Amino acid sequence: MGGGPIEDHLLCVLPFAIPEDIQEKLRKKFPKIEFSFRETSYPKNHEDLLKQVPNELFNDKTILVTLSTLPPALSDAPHLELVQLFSAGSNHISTHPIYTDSDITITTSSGIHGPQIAEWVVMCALVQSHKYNKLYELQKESRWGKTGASDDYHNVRDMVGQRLGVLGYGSIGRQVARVGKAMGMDVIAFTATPKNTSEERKDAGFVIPGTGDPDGSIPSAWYSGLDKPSLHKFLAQDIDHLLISVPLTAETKHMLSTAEFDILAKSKAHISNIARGQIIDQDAMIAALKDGRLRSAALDVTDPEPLPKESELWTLDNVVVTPHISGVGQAYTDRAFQVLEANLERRERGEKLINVVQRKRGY
Amino acid sequence: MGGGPAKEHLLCILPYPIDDTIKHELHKRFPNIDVTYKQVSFTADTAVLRSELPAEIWHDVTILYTLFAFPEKLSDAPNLQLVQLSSAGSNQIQKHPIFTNSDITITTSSGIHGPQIAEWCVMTALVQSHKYNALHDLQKERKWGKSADKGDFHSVRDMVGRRLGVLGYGSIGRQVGRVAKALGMDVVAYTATPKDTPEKKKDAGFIVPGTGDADGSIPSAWYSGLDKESLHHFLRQDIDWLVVSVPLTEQTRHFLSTAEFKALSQDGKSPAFVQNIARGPIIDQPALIEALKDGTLAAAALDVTDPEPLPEDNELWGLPNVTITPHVSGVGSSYTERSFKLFETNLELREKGERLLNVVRRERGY
Repeated sequence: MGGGPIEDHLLCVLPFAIPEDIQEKLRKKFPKIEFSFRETSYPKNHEDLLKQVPNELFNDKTILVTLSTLPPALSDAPHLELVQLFSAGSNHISTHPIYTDSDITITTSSGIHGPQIAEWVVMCALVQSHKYNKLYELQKESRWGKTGASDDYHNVRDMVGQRLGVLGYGSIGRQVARVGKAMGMDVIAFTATPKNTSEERKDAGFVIPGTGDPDGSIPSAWYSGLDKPSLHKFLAQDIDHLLISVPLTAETKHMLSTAEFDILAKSKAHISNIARGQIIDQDAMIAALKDGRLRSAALDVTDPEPLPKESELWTLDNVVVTPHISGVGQAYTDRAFQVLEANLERRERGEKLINVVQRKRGY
Repeated sequence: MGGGPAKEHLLCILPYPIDDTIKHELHKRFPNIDVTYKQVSFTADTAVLRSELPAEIWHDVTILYTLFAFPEKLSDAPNLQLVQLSSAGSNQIQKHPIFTNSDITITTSSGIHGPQIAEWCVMTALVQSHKYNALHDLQKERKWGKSADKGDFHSVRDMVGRRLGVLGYGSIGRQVGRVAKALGMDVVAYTATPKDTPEKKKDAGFIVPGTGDADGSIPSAWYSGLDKESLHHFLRQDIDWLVVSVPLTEQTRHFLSTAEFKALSQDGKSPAFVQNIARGPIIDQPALIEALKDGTLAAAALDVTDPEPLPEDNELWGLPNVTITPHVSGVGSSYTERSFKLFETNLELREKGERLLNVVRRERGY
């Protein structure tokens, strides 16, 4: 591919080493883009970050690929047209002028977290239903802990015929649904806005091959609506396992509280939260876990994080707490760059990008 | 059908109580069968079991539904025509005259264990790959175990694109395959005899609705053959996760030993994860321990060991990447219900004079 003008100046600034082969692949594939890659170490504070990424660096950039490093002021990046976030969420930049005071396109890496996070959800649900913690303790004592027909394990109930309710049928929700269906579960989906046609039910974002629910065919029923009656209608559907996979927005903050747990009490639901801690009214949830309205909970996110030592969540028998690691893994970087690649291709062709943040709705 | 058929006498001897709803259902569907229910102790000791049962109990029995309880002599049960085992395996009857000296049809409850055992398989695989034990220990210490210097969790790798090898693509193996496929894995299947037509790949047995792999479409490749060469050919297929779900027979005793673990792990270059939910003796256990210790194998999860209970001083208990559970993976609340559904299916087939499900073939041992 001969000379040709540079059409874009892309700065990629991430808190880890960006693999050489990825850098090379991108440079080869997009010769009209000038790529600058910067690795930062986790900044101790804002000043430290500025030292690592001086403001002038943003000056000529049209595309920024980042996790949370942004030009301090809009005027530092007068040519910026696209910000590709390395995270699925965008709430961490929602008070920055790029978000609040500009029309710069912001895209996320939604779509890459499904497999890993779905595995965490399934793992924790099975750990609880199969009483794995007890088995682990027995193993630590080198104890073959069976006494006969009357021990605990005869109460283990498998997933066949149980209902998975996916609160937020996005990329992560769809992958949990896929695995749930394979385990013999019935799946029902909830979305903010109605998905009445097969077109609307499609996953228009980034789908890792062999995963997810691209055509939206897995759920046996769909529900929608951020108002309380609509939410309650969904929650009343005899849900055995509730997955929380909505983004954190003004509408979803404390979406699940006492009234909602009262409804879920009918089916004594198990709750998995892999989204954001504040979606749940945590004290209300603790009460519901203690009095049996909720059977159990698996939380990879809490309010706040880190979860303070005194929180009862640490020690409740029916709660699994992990330190926000469900989405962290080897494949992350590769896949996030695949999303970037997909978006750079679309940009080149003048096509609509994937995972564009809609500021009005908050994600 | 005037006059009515000869009365069948069904004797149900199980080590747990049977729900009234199950009894009613059975009576409703098969009013011509006289049913006697007896609950016995949970033991495999046939002498103990017989001491709990009156000697005459066997005489009129035409159908026996049992786990470990059998008449001492064939002559004690002269009318016996069908023995339905509530287990998937039939090892417990194979030394009994019913097996060795008669043609009495023996059927098993293969087909009901898939969902529950597959969940155990997925759970223990993910517990290993996501380092759940470490997370659990952190939780017990109330430690939010993350710091800027990136904890161990960045090395977690999900299952997408990895390969599951199912050694014994039966009912349980098919359900593990189904879930693995949903996780984004590639699945390769192994069977004793070749399944080289679509018909042979089908699962003709009892399938819990919404599970399994009825038409055998999940595996991307099939392998077969009980000889070493065929076994090794399968094991060399770049398998990341191997599930052992073959029955225990003469041919499969110590099926997997040192040479097999080496083949599985590409001579140690690609250490694999091995799971056993079948029978302990299928694996040469000392060889397994060595392979785990020298890194040939990456990890193991065993719900069955040799012997059971696993003695306290066995090294497996304390090896870092080993999960041991006390033969619980198939035990659960749906067991009885599904076992009876399968049994009813067989009673119906019997009534219609059709071939039953899960008939034990004495010459092959399962």
